[in-house]
Amino acid sequence: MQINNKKRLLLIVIVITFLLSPFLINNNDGLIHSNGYILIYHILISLLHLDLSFKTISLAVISTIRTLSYAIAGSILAIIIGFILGVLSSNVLITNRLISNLFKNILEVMRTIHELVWAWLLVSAFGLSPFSGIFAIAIPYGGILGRIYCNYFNSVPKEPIFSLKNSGASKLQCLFYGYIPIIKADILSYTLYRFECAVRSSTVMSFVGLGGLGYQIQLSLDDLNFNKAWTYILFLVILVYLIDLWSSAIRKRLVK
Amino acid sequence: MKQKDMFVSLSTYLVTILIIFAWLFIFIIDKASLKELFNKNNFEHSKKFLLGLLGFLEEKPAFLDINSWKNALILTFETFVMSVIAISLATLSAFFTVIFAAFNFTNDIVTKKIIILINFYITL
Repeated sequence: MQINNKKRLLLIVIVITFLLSPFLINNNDGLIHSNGYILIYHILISLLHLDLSFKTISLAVISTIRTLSYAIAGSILAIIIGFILGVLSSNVLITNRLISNLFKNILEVMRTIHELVWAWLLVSAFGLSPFSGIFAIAIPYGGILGRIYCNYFNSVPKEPIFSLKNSGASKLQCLFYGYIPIIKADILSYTLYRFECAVRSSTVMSFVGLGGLGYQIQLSLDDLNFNKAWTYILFLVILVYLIDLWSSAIRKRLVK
Repeated sequence: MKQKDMFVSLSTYLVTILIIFAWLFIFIIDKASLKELFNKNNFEHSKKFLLGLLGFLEEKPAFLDINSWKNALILTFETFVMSVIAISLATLSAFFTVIFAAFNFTNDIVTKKIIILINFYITL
């Protein structure tokens, strides 16, 4: 089957599923439970009365730093894992298809399992250690980055690589002086985008009990302290927005 | 050109500082310890957990139970349907926001200010 036909078939399946979805899911009790409207009203009203006390703000600042630290640490490990596995799964160093496919499958397993599931698994195995959160980001993100890096490596035009090889360059030299300079901007651009995602993921990690903004949001929601929860959410939005602005500025300069 | 290089260089320094700061924060403030991570207790925990996942030392491994497979199949279908609903709603909302948030869609300054607000909303 041609790629276009496959895409068309997938689109048809998605559209049909979407149209049939009201009948496929159980919504007998309605989408929002009877007391939901009152709760939503309270949540929205508390947005106008943010808790800006010194205690809350200082806790929000330290939680923001914690969330950012976990995201940075997880991303760094993910870049290392992704780069190594990305190179091994592409045809840059290894030409044996069997071995490169093995590494591709490892990347597939790593990225298929969501970071939250990894967090649950790692917390069960290692307990509530910061490393559980960091590895929970590093493993799936390493898988995603590795897959993308592998695609970038395979999309490099062969002519410059051939000329390097003809002048006596080894495979490793071809990697560092041929492949990487050509795809450097793309790799950086995509890695920055994934870093933004890692910050959001790091917040979600907190919901399994690891410290950070998500943990504070969950505690506030459990206590029905919506004004406090909004303060933490505001800190998260500002953090993500600043990172977005910064990475967009870098990406623009890299593309030019 | 110089400005471009300066911004990228400054960003590189900032990233280096952030990486060092993040690891220092994790090891000093959060008292994370690699020794504790790889201690005997954790090793035993992990071993028991992984063997349990694979069905060893379990009275009734889940993957040998037909009901577990049925439940997993139903849950897989529900996950698929929910994903389709989510991506379809996201696509529909994107049609009403992203197109207007694109700077090449309009040249008007006032509209651009509104667009920045829409971009902020998308970030939310």
